[in-house]
Amino acid sequence: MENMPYIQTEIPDNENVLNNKLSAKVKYVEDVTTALNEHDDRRVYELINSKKYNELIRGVEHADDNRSLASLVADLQPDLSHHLAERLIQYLAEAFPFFYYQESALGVFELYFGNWWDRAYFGRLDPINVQFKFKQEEYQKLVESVRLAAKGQRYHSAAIDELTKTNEELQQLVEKQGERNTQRQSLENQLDHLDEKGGFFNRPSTEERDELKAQLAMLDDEDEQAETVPDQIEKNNATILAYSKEDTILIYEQRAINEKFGSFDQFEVAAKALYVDYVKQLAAAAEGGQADA
Amino acid sequence: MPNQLQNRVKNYVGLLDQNIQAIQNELNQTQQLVESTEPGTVHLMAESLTQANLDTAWVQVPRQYSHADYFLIAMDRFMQLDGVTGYSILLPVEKETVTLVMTDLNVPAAFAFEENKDQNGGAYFVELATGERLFYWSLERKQIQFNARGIIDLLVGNFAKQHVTVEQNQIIATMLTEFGRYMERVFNYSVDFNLLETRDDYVYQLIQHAEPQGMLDKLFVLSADTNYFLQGIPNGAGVMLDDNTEVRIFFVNDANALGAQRWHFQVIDGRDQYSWLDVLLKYDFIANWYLSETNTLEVSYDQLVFAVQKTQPVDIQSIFTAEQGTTPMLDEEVVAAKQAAEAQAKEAAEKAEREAQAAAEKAEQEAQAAAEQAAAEQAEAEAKAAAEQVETTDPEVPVVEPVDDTLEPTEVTSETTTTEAAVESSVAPVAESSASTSGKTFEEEIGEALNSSNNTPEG
Repeated sequence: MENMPYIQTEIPDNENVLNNKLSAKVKYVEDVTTALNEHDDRRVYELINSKKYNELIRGVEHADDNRSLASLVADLQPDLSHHLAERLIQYLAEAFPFFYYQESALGVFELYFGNWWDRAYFGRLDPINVQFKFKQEEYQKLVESVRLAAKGQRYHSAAIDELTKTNEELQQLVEKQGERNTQRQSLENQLDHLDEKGGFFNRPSTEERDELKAQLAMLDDEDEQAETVPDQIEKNNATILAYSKEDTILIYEQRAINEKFGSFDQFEVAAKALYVDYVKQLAAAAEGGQADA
Repeated sequence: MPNQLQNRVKNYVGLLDQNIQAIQNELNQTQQLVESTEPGTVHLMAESLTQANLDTAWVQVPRQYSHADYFLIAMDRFMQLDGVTGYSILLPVEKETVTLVMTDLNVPAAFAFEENKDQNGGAYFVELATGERLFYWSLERKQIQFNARGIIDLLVGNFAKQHVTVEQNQIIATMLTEFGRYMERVFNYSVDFNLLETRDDYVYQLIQHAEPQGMLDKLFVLSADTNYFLQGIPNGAGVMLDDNTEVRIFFVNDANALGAQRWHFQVIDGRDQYSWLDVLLKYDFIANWYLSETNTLEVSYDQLVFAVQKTQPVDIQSIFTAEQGTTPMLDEEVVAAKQAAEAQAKEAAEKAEREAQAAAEKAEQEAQAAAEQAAAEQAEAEAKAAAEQVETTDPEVPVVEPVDDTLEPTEVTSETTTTEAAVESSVAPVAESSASTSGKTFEEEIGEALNSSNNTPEG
């Protein structure tokens, strides 16, 4: 047994494969570096998501993804995003002139609609995926207001009308104070009258008295409400103002979209096709540049 | 040794002489005030005359200019020296009172000074019909303070709402500004221009009455109906108007301010050309917004000087209807002149009436002639027709009969009546315009008053 030699496990040599893989990675990183240095954003987009690029730009069906390679630069996303945003935002200033951006953190671009007072925060711009990520709440408001505009209405028309009506009613409650005072006087007189003629044996008048008291209680309620009217009207006016402001913003948004795209539908199409339009434009520009050279 | 009578007369003469000296002195000053082309002299004379009192006991001057009048005379002189135009001074012949009016303004308005009676002296420049005090002027302290509220209430809140044009309002604003600038430049006045300031770097100070609630939202909503839109700027909002003019409304943090925010306006046009008032005059949506927010904030003015914002308004119609002229007249002369004018008017009216009557008569005659001719023609035609008819039907009927029918008076009168009516209506305006002055409108009175005392600087 002692001399029995063990057969050593043979491990096939894969040094070549490994080398190839490593050099592929190195090459990938080098390619990305070159593309970045040359500010060849088209190439960057191709490198960071080749599947998307091949399918959408080259029209290849079911292209392979390069996720493993791309993961090499995954932790550089904020830097890449910042880098890519530079040209993209230049392009967007023409294509979507009404959007404004604020870089809240490296590579994070907050999107604002318009440059008017209290413009809406409209979501984010994703430069790596060349995509708007609209804030759904704001976007739906805009969609709804476009639908209503076709009927000649504004987003808050109904609510504003309702509040205006409420205010008118409230105002009436105040204006009828005099009437109520007269009514109260008359009810109190009737009550006094009942008390005067009421004795132990006038049981049936209790009913009448209760009726009068109920009416007086109603007046009390209305008086109490009337006291709060100024506050309520002020509150409603503030709400009306907020709604009017939002309507104004939505009108500006629609106007901006219509001026640029002709219709909201066209805008939606353009927003969805942003990656294709932009990257193709980069490719065309690169070819044009080469042709010139 | 002189006797008592001599002394008595000598003293009497002395007293009169003293008074005459005082009067002469004041007359000299007044003459220099209106004749000197040296601004310093004008100022000095104005300063003296606005404080002097010609209450002489022995030789009395029944008709004198008041201190307030001297302020206006001085203002007119300075504006004349500066070449400011667009206004006239009304000069009633029957009293020494001066009033400033704008030559091109389609609402009744008259401006004059009101002396400030307290120890601070000076005077307020007031629009008489509304009582709005537009500025305060102290000659001795060399100080002018404009009243943002009074000026805005008058020009923006009142005139603009009565369809006074932006241009007409701007003439008033320019007159005020130019006057202030002249006094600042020539006499080193301290001038509080507030709402009239046009410098781009000027930050309008505001009086904050309450914490603003949705103030900028309101302006934003109002701007939605215009071609201008409100944009956010740090701590506030801005709006780009025409002519590269930008208006900013913003606050700076200030623990001492109401709500710890001190608000300001700014008007930037790159040429120091427009003031906050210009913006209010030109842009209705900003004016409406400002007027609705004055309970919250307003352009600041000296709150001590303008603690009382208004003077008692007066009926200014009599100022315009008074006889105007450069030569003063005594009461009896005025009465005589009035009578002469009335007689003349009456004569003119009678003449017009006679002419009208003559014309009417002539027209009537012509009409009658025409009618007769027409009738004759018609008669002829009918006679002819009748004759033809007669020929065909009954040759026994006399041919003259139809002629009698057409000459019936009813037909002729109906034609003359219409002609007469036409003549009357064409004569009516002539008679009316030459009749008594009571038929004139206020506008016509203003126009006439302006024409009779047009006072725009010469050369």
